[in-house]
Amino acid sequence: MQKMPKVTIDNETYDVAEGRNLLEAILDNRLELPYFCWHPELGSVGSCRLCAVKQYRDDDDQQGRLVTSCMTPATDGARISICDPEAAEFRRSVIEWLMINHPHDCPVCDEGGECHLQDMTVMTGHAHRRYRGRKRTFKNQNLGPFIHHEMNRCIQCYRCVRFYREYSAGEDLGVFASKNHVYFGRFEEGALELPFAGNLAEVCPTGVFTDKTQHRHFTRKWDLQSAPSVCTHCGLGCNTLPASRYGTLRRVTSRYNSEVNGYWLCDRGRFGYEYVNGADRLLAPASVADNGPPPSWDASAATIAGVLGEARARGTLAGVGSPRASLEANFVLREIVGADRFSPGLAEEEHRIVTRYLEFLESTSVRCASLRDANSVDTALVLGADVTNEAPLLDLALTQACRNAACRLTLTGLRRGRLSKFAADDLCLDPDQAAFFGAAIVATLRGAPEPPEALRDSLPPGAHECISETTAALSAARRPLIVAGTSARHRGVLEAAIQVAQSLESTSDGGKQPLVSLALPEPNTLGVTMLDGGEGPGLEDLLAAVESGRISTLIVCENDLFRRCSDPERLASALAKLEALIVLDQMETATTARARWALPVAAVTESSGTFVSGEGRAQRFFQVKAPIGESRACWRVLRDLFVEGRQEGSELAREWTATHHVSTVLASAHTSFGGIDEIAPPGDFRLLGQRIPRLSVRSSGRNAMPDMVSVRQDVQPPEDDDTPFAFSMEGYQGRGPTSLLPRYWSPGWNSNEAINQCQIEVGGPLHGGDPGRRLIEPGDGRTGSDGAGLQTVGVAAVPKGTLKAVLMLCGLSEIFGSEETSRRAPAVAESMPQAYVLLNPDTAVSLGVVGDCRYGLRLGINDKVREVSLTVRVDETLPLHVAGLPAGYPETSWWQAPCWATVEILGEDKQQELEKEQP
Amino acid sequence: MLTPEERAELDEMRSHYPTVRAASVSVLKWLQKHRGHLSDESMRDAADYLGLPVAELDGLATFYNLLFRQPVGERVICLCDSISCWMCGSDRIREHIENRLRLRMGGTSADGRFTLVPVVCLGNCDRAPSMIVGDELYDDLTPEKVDEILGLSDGTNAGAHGGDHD
Amino acid sequence: MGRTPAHTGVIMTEITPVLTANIEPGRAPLDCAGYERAGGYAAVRKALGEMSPDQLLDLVKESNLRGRGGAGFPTGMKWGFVPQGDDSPNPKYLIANGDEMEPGTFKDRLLIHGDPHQIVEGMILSAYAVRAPVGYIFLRPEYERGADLLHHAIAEAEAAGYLGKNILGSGFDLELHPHVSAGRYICGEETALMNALEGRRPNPRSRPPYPAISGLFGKPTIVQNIETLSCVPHIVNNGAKWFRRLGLGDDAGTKLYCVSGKVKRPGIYELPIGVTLRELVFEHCGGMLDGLEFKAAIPGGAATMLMTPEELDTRLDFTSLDKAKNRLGTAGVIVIDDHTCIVGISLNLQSFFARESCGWCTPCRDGISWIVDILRDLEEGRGEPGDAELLMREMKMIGPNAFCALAMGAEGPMVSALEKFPEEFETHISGGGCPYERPPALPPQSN
Ligand SMILES: Cc1cc2nc3c(=O)[nH]c(=O)nc-3n(C[C@H](O)[C@H](O)[C@H](O)COP(=O)(O)O)c2cc1C
Ligand code: SF4
Ligand code: FES
Repeated sequence: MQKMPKVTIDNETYDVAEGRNLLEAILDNRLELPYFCWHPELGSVGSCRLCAVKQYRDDDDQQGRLVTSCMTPATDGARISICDPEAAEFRRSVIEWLMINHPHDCPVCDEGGECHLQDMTVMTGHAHRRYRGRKRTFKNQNLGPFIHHEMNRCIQCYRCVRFYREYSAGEDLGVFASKNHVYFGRFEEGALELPFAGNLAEVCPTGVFTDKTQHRHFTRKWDLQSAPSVCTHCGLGCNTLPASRYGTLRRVTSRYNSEVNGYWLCDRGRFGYEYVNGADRLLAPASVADNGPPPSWDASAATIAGVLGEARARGTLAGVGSPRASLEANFVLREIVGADRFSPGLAEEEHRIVTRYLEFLESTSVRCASLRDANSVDTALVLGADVTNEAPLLDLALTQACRNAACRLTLTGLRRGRLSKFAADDLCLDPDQAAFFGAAIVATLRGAPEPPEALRDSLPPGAHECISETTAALSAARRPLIVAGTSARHRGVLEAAIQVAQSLESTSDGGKQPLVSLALPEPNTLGVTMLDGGEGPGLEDLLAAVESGRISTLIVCENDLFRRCSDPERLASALAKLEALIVLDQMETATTARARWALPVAAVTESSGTFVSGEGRAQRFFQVKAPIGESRACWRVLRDLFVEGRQEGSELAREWTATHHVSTVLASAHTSFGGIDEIAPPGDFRLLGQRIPRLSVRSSGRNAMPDMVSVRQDVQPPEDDDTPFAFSMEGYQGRGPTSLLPRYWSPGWNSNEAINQCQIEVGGPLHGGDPGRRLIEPGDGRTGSDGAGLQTVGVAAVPKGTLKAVLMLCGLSEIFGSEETSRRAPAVAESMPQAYVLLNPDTAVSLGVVGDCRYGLRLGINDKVREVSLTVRVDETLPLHVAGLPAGYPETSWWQAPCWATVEILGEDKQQELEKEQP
Repeated sequence: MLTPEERAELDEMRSHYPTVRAASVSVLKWLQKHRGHLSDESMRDAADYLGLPVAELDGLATFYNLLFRQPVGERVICLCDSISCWMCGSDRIREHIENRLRLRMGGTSADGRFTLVPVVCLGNCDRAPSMIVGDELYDDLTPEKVDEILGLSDGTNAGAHGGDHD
Repeated sequence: MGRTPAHTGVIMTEITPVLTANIEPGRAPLDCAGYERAGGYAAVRKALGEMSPDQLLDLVKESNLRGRGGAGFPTGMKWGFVPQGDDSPNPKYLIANGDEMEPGTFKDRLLIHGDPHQIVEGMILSAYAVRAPVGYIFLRPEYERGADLLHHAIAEAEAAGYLGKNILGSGFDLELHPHVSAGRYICGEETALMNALEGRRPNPRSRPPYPAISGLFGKPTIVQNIETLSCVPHIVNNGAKWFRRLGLGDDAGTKLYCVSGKVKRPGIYELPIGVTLRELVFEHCGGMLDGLEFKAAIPGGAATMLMTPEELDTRLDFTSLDKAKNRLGTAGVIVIDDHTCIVGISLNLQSFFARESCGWCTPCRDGISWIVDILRDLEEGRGEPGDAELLMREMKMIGPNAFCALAMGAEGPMVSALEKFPEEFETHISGGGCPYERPPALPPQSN
């Protein structure tokens, strides 16, 4: 091991990692030094000057001189002083200067109580104001539904523009004017365009940029009740810290995980939470049959268990799990209905794609990329995916890889997007073509002199060169990454991606680590697919079984089947045939509307459990707040039904009184889930015999909570068997394991910068390791396939017809709009585009339509005709023969996979008729 | 929108710079020269032409002293207020101009003919006080000389019908 | 007003003019042919014909030429920092700094408008020494006409084969591009200048890396003042020893002293470097305006320290002023009389620095504007006991700890005013404001 540099700080000698600056060296060693402009991810720029320390030339130097520690390398033998009076005085002055124009409006500022500026002011000891003049004032801007702007509080650390422009390659936030009039904002008012703008609220060390959604139901940090959680709005598994008060969720902030999301969240993840407080949550068990007052839980459970038991006995029971329900819930459901009657609840094509992906991961030595891996790849090939909209934080990771032109990027999505500006090759291809493109690369990698003609002919001009350049780059790369998505709903694309990765792996002479990543739409898509293990029926089979009467009773857990099925009419009539449809869900959906029993279950932030992210990382989430209304954790409801039904094996379930009991059973029952019981301490974990409080020590207190009703303490906080957390401020006050960090807080550090105190090295892994465990690691000597089976699954042939145009209908992912729950959050709803059909402008012209207008469309798909009313939008980067439809929209939920369609524009009267019908 | 002629001239200018970004200030100056000031529309035109985010260009436009994002009068009077000019009476010249044009420093006369702005040292300190009007440098200023330069020698006040502006 | 400014005044005594030899007030600058007739481009012929870049570099080192832009850094030494050799980064850049926005400084104006070919020649030589194939001339917006003259001179030099590819068969290529800025003092700071040239916000960059290692577009870059560059042809023509001997004290060459303020004949004086303040003010400039006494002078533009009558015999060169804890700066000498308020002077200077702060770092951005506020309070009768100490303490904290040298420039005049004229600050506080007539007016002059 290399010798570590030693630095003497106030006469003590410390070890410092190689390549650190003095500020980092100081913070790494848990010493305190104030700073503003430095940030572990944004680097040092030396503008605030707050981090000044005394540096001495050598042992004889008594004088020393002030240096900016973040700009000074921590070299071996350096001698510095933090406490030196001159240095301390200077730092106090920096705060005094910054305070000259700061409005001191802490009482009305949303940052108050977790403000880095407050912390630093206290840390430097500046308390007395000598400035006698007037303060300058700025006009604020409306920056859209997510971020609130209050420029007077600015201390000009430039972090916002450095994050927005340099780090994230955003374009519409800038720095204007100069001297003491420097202004950070937009050229003109309007919503921020960057889908990561929410992070401004966290990088800004004061209250200039704050969370606008939180503002509507504001609570100080010290009054927030929080617990570690995992984002539910896509499959990347970003770590979050949701926080609540008085039974409502107030905000979500990022929870640091150096392997996954680092310091960041995307705006869907940050602002999608409000659906939890929404009006369309299910509040109490409901039964269609009863039609009276809502049945009690116990009565329902007994009745439903009876219905289930009967159907099981007849062999006509089936269950549908969900990629947005926990592993635990899916597992219990599977126990109830049996492995061969358990459907993971994915759309048909998606199910095939994910299953194939999983099979590949389990058999290859290609590594499934973590977000941190993606940060540092040197070549990336994105096949038929829209990274920004499907896996937002993967976009931010690739941005880092590309920022210094280090990573060579090839894009083959349907349309150009945010990452295009970094792309060396950027072809807009339909999924068939993307698959061909990948297949051609495979062929070239495997030494074919020319890609097969059939492949070449289907690609647009210029593609041939891109293929050879991309192939060359991939061959030369040390860390190539292949990305595919699920929203293209095209197996050929995934297959091609897999084969490219596999070929790279098998043709590499060592020193190369190929990586793959499949963008998954929901938090547990991979987990539920692993659980299913290919044993259960897909949705198509299930539907057929219901239609044929082989299934009479269906229990659906946290799944809206109408989002998954390409024929809603057929689905509706099939469901109507059932003797009993039992649906457990958080909110009203088209499926709950048809249920005989609709049972309310807790949201992720209201329960505990485990998700497996697209990276194959099992992560535990913990209950943040009590479930709304009468809802209960999904797995608990299912366990009760299981126990009540008294079926074989259900006696054991009596013992399952806490989440970790289920996780433990699952871990031992399924080898692929081995170890998931260990990713976080179990619910009975205690420190010094105490729980970890969800509320801060400074919380306004339990007694005060219902003080509008009574000042006595009549309500005891609920008990919680599932987690080591307490719903109170009492408990262990030290720092527990990092997987159990309910908030960032450290003496003197009230802001989120307190995370520094939890990292081994500032900006590095957390003490005790980052939470979560990768379940699928690449093995050695695994036999990869030889590419022989490479199917270029084509979309069925172009239909013949006389209508106006024949277009390939493809799905487009929208960061705001495509995901089921976040689109119910008001701020996200405000940001999402209306349901549309996207056309190339030339295609639009040939159809006789113009953009941004609503039209009635008649679509002929496989002898079926569907009439819809949609807004036509145009994008000149879209291939001419493609019509893009937004994925995950109720208006277009029948789109489940690419297909050719005849497209005709309907008359106005017809369109009005349609609009009346539409949801 | 830029006219084809405008584009052609800008193309020529851009060819002197190794990167598009490096040409930004010259492009902005050129637009200002031909359009009087840099309106939001001109800023968008420049952004469009250069292929750079408008926020970035505005970061430049609002940084430099002689790029104007607000409308200005036909003739912009840049009066030096740095040390040598100040010592030699630029304050008196300023007061004189303010009174004659009925405006305040930074303002435009009611008839829209003049805008008075302060500038830092014009590099003409040996002939203080100095000012630039339009493209011309004037020095050794006296109130009488100022009247003459501004075409106010007939003794009438410009903008006599207007009030103060900021 | 009846005083006789020296205009583009070139008043030479004792020696024959060097930098201003071709400059005649009121006459258009020499064209290429005229410049050649006056001995121009001989240095280029000589250097590119007979000397290697390293020999040229050694010659400049030996001449003891120090930068005329303010910092006085030895020019040859700076050139020596540029990495050379096959694996060194290319291209390298040379930048002529003609931003000249420091109050009291107007020497480059004379050289740009008076003898553009001399600048072009200086740049060819300097670029040759550091092997830079591209040069930029960065000009303040008010020198637009100077830019035209330079464009013209460059075209002429190109036609004559002094610029372009394979100059005079030496194998050395050079292209020059003037760039006219849009006006901002900080653009004169060399790293901010490079950001400005790249089309970025002209905030300074941190050092290291130094521009000679990584500058414009990340390539090795030498930034040199216009006057510095203009010296180089003469060094090549006449030798290092000759150049060193020009100086009266320990420094080398002649110097363009620009004098403004309350003297009889303000203007630009090319003199051997090292004249005393007394000689400059009372001999060359004809003394103070009638009715005024010498109270103080700022020797080198707004960013240097006040000198008192006791210091009149100090030589105005780098070495002597360094010794006096002052700086030669740009040699823009601002002469202050006994009717002028030192607090007023300070307020004016600090307003300049506050207004021209780029807004990047805290001490400069927020600290100097506070200084301005306190000074305005003093001037307007709102001063409080302790304000002088507050000014001193704050300014000493701001100056050395800011990101770039702009704030250090602000510190010099402020601290020296407090140290050398404490009574003026006291009277402002105790007397409820400024005792001087404001704004100041020039007294009537006899001639
Ligand atoms: C705020 C500031 C403004 C400056 N302005 C100029 C200037 O206008 N012209 C100039 O030549 N140097 C200026 N300088 C000095 C330059 O940074 C640099 O030192 C100089 O151009 C180097 O050339 P020299 O070695 O030939 O003097 C300035 C420095 C600072 C800190
Ligand atoms: S000292 Fe700081 S704010 Fe001032 S000009 Fe330099 S970098 Fe900008
Ligand atoms: S943190 Fe070091 S200067 Fe801002």
